[in-house]
Amino acid sequence: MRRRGFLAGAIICVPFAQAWAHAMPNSTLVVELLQGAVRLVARIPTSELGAVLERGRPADRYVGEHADIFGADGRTWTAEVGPVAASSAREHPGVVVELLFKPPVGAATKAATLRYDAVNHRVASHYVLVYRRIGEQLVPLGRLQSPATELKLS
Amino acid sequence: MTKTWLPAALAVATGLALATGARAEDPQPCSSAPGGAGPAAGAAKTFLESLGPLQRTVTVRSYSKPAATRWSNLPIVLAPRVGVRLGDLTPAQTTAVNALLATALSHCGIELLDGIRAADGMLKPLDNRGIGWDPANYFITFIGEPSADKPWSLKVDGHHVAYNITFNAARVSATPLFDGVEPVEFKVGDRTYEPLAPQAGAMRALATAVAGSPAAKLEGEFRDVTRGSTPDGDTNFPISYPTGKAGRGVSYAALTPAQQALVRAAMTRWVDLPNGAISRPLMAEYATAAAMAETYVGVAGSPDLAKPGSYVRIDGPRIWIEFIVQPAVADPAKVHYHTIWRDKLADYGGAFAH
Repeated sequence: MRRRGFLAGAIICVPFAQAWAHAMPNSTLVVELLQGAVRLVARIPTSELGAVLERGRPADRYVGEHADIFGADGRTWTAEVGPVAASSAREHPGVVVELLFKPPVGAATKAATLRYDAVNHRVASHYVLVYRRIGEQLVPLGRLQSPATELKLS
Repeated sequence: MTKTWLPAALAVATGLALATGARAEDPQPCSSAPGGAGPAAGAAKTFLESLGPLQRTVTVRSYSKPAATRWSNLPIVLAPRVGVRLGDLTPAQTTAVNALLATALSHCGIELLDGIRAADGMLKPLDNRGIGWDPANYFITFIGEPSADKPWSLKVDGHHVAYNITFNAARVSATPLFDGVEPVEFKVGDRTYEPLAPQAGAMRALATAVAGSPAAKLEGEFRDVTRGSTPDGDTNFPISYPTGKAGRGVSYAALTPAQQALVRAAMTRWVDLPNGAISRPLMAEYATAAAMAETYVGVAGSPDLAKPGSYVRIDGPRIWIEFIVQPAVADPAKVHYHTIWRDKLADYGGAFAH
């Protein structure tokens, strides 16, 4: 089971499609590989999240259920899901959810694979731009869009 | 008034004739001027010679993946373009660029470009946010120096058009080719324009014909084309496509002859947009019996294409065409269209795939 806890919600600034120019803003993920942990910051347009989120269902729980990190041994890491914060984007409102993944006791401590399909599991045209944070740099890792749900982290 | 302003403004801003692009119900095939690598290179050089030094500098970019894959379906303020702006050309330069376009596009492709730009002219008075809706904001770029025998691409890129015509590469190529339009239908004076009517009509007929087949229904919701560009360009290229038989729609082989004819007719509405020197060999590849046997048609939403979320896709071994109905941006009560034609092997001439 996932544990929900508070994580500092750093608001990220990476490209969104302009919702007000065309109706289809994308999500972004920023992956940060830490010592024995992975921090994931997901930014999801409110319009897209609203289309897939069942009434009354917490957004943080939804995102947590659609994101996983697998270690080099294939085992699923446990996640702490932080609170939902409002995106600072002015023209295309969204939410930011931060997750911290750690390997289970005795598992490999090297993260190997990201699985993520929030919004994508239902909206086939939605895409997620994935970046890796290295210091102050955001390095593109790839793009996730149905049916693809996984990206190698190494 | 917009209706009387538009033709004159376009004539001044773009120099492109708007006698074309009217409601297209003519079933005649798209004709082409002599085209292909040799004529296109000659016309491109003539166009370059008509430009000033600074214009030439911004028009020719290196033959590279970052340059080739930079295009967007966003207005230019949201996704700045590189190249020479059609709205900045003199009449002589416009004549030269029109001669170039005739070597790379069929008259249908030219009509579509004109019609889509005319639609942007309808949006221009509504551009309160200053995002660049304007028929003048379409750009010409050469990816590589135009040549009769070395690889280069002609890129025509603006809000609702991205033509990427590649010459002398490993594969004949006119893709990725993005088209969209808003408003989908409009009047200039007493004339009605519906630039994507041939494509919408073909996809509507196809979707309606196959909608009764459960296999044709695609899973999930569609709000845009799935293999388009990001705000930064076609950054995910080379892109992945569905494989296997599941989740791709109904097989062409399972359709009736009449339905199969609708599939081929819809394909030609995109493949006939480039010059015949390009479209003929491509259609010959796409329409072999073996290729058609591995082609699928998928639909979602309303087959009459009247509502947002209506979506039709043709997915073959090489050809990939998507048509999506979206809410209009200027007037969300109406709809607008996005379409894309890609070639799983030959986008950008088959270059930059690795």
